[in-house]
Order: sequence, then C-alpha cells, then structure tokens
Amino acid sequence: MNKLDEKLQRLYRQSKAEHPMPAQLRQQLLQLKSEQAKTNWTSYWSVVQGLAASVALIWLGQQLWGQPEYYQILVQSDASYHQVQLHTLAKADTASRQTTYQQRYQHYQQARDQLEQSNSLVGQLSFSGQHWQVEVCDQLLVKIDQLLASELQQDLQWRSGQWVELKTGQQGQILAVISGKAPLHCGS
Amino acid sequence: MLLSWFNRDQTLPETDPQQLMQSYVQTDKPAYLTQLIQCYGNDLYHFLLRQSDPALAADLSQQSWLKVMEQKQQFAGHSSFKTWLFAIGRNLMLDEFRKQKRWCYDNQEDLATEEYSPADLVEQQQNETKLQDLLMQLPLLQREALLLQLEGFSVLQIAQITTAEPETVKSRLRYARQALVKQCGEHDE
Repeated sequence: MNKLDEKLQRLYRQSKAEHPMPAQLRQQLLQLKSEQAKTNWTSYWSVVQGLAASVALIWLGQQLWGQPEYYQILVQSDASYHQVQLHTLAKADTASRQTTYQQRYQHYQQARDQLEQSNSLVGQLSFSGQHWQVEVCDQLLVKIDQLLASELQQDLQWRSGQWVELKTGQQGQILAVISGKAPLHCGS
Repeated sequence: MLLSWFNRDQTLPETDPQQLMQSYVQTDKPAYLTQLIQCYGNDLYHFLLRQSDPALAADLSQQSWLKVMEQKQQFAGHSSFKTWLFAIGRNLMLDEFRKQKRWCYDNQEDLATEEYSPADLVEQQQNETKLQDLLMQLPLLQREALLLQLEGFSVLQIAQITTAEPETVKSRLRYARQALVKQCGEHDE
C-alpha cells in the first residue's frame, strides 16, 4: 500500500469516527421499524374491524328487512263491492326488530299453525297502478300494499290477470298467495 | 428448556448480514432489521454525508432503510446486503440531486478535476488535511467510486452499486488517485 492509500485510509477512518450516524437518526430508524410492525398489526386490525362491521351490517339488514313487524287490514266500504280490504305491512323501529333466534322460531311455528288453520279465497290479480289487488268475484276486493306484495312475491312473481289463491289466517291476514288451480265460478 | 422455548423468538443466532437479511425477509421480525441497522447504519450515513450534507444524509438514510423494509422481498441475495443497501442509498441520492439540479448525472463522466488556484492549494496544504477537503476536489463520480473503495467494496461491487462497467469504475478510481496525488504532492507507486 502506498502513502496515498495509507493517508486516504487514515483520513477515511478518522472521518467515519468523527461522523457517526446521529443518535437522533438512529432513534428515528428504530421508531420507523416499530411503526412498521405496528402498521402491519394495524392493517390486520382494520381487516378484522371491516369484517366484523360487514357481518353486523348483514345481520342488522336481515333483522330489519327479514322480519315483518305488524300487519294491518283496513276494511273499506265500496259501491261496487260488498267489501274492500286494504292489507298493509309496516315495519317497527330498529330496537324492536332485533329478535332472537328463538323468537323467530316461535314466529315460524305460529305461521305454520296459522297456515294449517287458514282459509282460502280464489280471485284474479290485477295492478291498479298503486297496488296489487285480488278481485274475488264482485264480492270482495283485497288490496295489497307494496311492501306486503313484495314479501308475498318472494316465491311467486305476480302478473295481472293471473288466478290466485289467497291463504288467509284466522284474523283474515294474508299468509300466502299461490297460483289458483282453477278459474273461479262465482255463485251469485 | 421451557424458558428457552418461550424465548425462541428473541434469539437471533445469525450474525452473517446476508443471513440476517434472509431471516428478516422470511420472518419479518424487526429484531433482524435492528441488527442490520447496527451493522451498516453508520457506513451508509457516512457514505451519504461525504457527498451531501448532514440534513440530507440523515433524510436519505431514513429513506434508504424504509426502502429496505418496503422492498425486502426484492432482495434476491445475488449481491451482498451491504451492496444492495448502498445501491438503494445511492439511487435515492441521485434522485435528490436531480430534483435539486445539483448534479447532471449524464454530463459528469468526462469532467476533469476542478481547477484550484495556487493560492487555494497553498492555503489548503497549510491547514490540516481532511478527507472532505480532498474529496470535494474530485468530480462526483470519481469521488463516489473512491468512497466506495475506501468503504471496502471491490471494483465489481462498486460497478453493481453504480450500475457502471467494471472498467469504467477502474478508470474513475485511476483518475481520482491521479488527481489526489497531484494535489497532495505525493507520487503513486
């Protein structure tokens, strides 16, 4: 090694000794490192939170829209028909919609019992422009509001002029609308 | 034995930097990175400092280690970790110089040593010679090559870091030495 190399090496060592990485920078690097580890954990936590929120949202949605809260039948008088009924389905506030599995099972049991004891009416479907309605001869017109109609149409898509059979419960509420097996023969 | 099993995450038997980096890539444990910072933090900072200023060197150091964290999967192990780290630092420095227009990289290759007046040289010889005083009189690419050689890199490794041909690196080193010999009044062997 020649003199220049020796001198350069000496000066280089001296310079490195005089200028180490500042303690503040070292500290910052260590913080970066821990923040990076923290960030990874945070991102996992965000994913978990997102999933939990999604599950909660789905559950809440099911509670909100899956469970009818109360059923209303308005009986109206009409010149053309003996009786006009308006069937509506209304939702209650959020707190009361949160039913447990057991409650829902009880509802299911009640609905099954009601269906077993149900009455049946055969009529022709039509859409008035505002809501669906079933005309049972010229004796009875059953109007069904949009919310209830959408609930009842989950199994069967309705079309105007279609003959249907209304399954009604003991209180007269519509339990189901199924395809009519035969055209109605009005007696009177 | 049970205690050692519980503490198994804390034990870091690897001392070889290459192995440390591989372990960091595989496990993502910050302890491996700490060891690498301890090993090369000073070296990288000094390399950057000798070509810039303390504030920029600190900033570039921080950015370089951030890149190591972010791009650890790109470390293929074809070069040594130190070579890879210095290449990252060097690229960041080039980017910064381009931003500040402090260095037109493409035009510097053929620049000769800056001319100093005799008065400057006399004054400098009278003062205690510092590394920085010597280096500042070299064109940037020659200074960079010389610094890397003094840091212990081989010509091939310098070529990897600076993305230059080994012969080009040799030329830069030769010109740098000639300039320094002339400046110091010493004679190369």
